[in-house]
Amino acid sequence: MSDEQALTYVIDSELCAGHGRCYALAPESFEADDSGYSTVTGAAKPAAEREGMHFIAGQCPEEAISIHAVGVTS
Amino acid sequence: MTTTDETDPSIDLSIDLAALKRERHVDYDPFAAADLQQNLARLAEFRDMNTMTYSTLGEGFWIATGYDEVVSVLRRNNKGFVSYPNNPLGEPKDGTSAAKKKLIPIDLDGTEHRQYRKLLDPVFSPKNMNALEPQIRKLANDLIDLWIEDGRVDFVEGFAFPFSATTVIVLMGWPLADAHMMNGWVTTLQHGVTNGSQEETIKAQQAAVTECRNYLMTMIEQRRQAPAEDFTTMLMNIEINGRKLDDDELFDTFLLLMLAGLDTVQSVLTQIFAYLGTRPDQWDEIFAEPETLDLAVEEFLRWTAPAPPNRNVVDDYVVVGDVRLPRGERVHCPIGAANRDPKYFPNPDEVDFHRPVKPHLAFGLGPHRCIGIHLARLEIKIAFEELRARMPQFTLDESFQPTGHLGFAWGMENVHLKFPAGKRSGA
Repeated sequence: MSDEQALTYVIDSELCAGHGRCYALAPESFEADDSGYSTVTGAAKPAAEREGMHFIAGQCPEEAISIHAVGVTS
Repeated sequence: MTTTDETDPSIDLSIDLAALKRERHVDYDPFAAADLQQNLARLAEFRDMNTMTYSTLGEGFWIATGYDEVVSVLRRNNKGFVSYPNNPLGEPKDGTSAAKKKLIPIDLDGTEHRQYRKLLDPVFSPKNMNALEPQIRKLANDLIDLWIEDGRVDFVEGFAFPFSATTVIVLMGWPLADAHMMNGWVTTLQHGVTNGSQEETIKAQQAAVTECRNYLMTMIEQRRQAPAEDFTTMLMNIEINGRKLDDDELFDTFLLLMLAGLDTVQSVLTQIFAYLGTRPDQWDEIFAEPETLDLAVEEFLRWTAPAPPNRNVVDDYVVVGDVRLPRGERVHCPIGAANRDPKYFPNPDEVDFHRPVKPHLAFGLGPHRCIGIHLARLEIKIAFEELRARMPQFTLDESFQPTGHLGFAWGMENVHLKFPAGKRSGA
């Protein structure tokens, strides 16, 4: 069932240009590397947080962030 | 052959480009003196006609005024488009060697550009920029001290310009005490000699370039003796294809980074404070809730976006909007117009800190995304906070009439503010 799935952000490193909106807005999920480009660091989130995750992904000017299901939580 | 959107059925490939250029023709001078809001209103009229219109000025150029069109051009940089010549009118024609020289890294593309950015990006990382915060705050307060007791300020000359110009001192790791010297050189380069003849201006500008270059070389020499953890040292160590930058390239790169950061931040700050001088309610709103400051910075970046980058088609053709552009065509991308596309920003001319957020394009997109993005955001945030602390109330002094200009960075002048006089810090 989809509402039991955990969700995670995925960054397309080809598209990421280091604008830094994701790690400014969601520091619990993203981190800047030494060049200011983003990496996903946080744990997967419950499906209930899908809407908030879509908001964060939508803040990327490069549309480099997508949200993927990572399997089933407890 | 590389093509894009080749199969898009909405594109009529039979349309004659010359006929389309006549049909979409608009009179638009990208270097005109113009009120910025009126210029944006004109670009909105162009957009209503079509998101891709055409000006015959210079070698001729398309004007992309829609958000999607500007995005599609800038994202395809290095993939169908190149930056050089990054001038809406085409290749510089004045015949000087300086005019034809490509600037590092803004005029480069492809692998060469990526090599430079890979070396330069880490220097401008959020971590490194945040480390400069205390010194940039001090710069801001030193400037405010010069006029806070007067109850009035020429905001461009008293703050927006010197703040943006001298931040480069902090970035390069040079003594803060030299900020006034840098300010003097840059003032001469930007404005020439006030009430002076053209000859006097040229002479003064040549002297400023020589002095500034000598200063840079002194700083470089000091670091050859004792390398430091700063941008100057970093610039000296950059090595592309086994070769370090020579003195000319070092100086050009330094000048570009300084001037690129100067015009833009100066323009953003000037536009913001001219606007807020008529909207004290919004000046208060920025500080009413702690989370509003970040929203305000982003909304003002959307609203003020001063850069109109240009891109040139190098593939057989690319499609932008509903136009199929063959190799050699040039697209002018006024980001300010994209940021006010009503398709994504309802009531686009209004400043609204709480609008449903669509990412603005103020820093560009793709491989040429503004390298100073984290520094610029930091400077704007510091300007808000320090000016709020020292000048909690102000209004636009309406005895002066602000003016605007287009160009490589759209700007505004003659913005004067009035406020209840304060005290110098430490006074």
